[in-house]
Amino acid sequence: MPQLVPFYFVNQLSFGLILLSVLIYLASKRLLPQLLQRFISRIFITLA
Amino acid sequence: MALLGRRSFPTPIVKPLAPFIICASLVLYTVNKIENAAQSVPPYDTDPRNPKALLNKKLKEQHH
Repeated sequence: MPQLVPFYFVNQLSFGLILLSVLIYLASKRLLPQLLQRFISRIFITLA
Repeated sequence: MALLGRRSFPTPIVKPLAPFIICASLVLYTVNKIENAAQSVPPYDTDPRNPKALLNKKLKEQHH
């Protein structure tokens, strides 16, 4: 199983950390604030 | 920074995630140490994927 072979540990970890940081950056800077803005706008434009 | 015509929001990233970034770098360092230790012990020391396989083989032959 390649995940348990010691030659690939650092490679696995590096890829995982890079992927995680990219996801967190995109989500916190773009996706989640956009979503929040959409929901707050919907609350504000509702008359009732 | 605008990507695809959409703006990005000024969310703080480094300050709240600083402990996790420090921990991740410590884990990376530790895993590197573990990897080096595991690669220098049989059966992985003479594995063809190991860049030091030939060197380890030579050293073993010299000892025996």
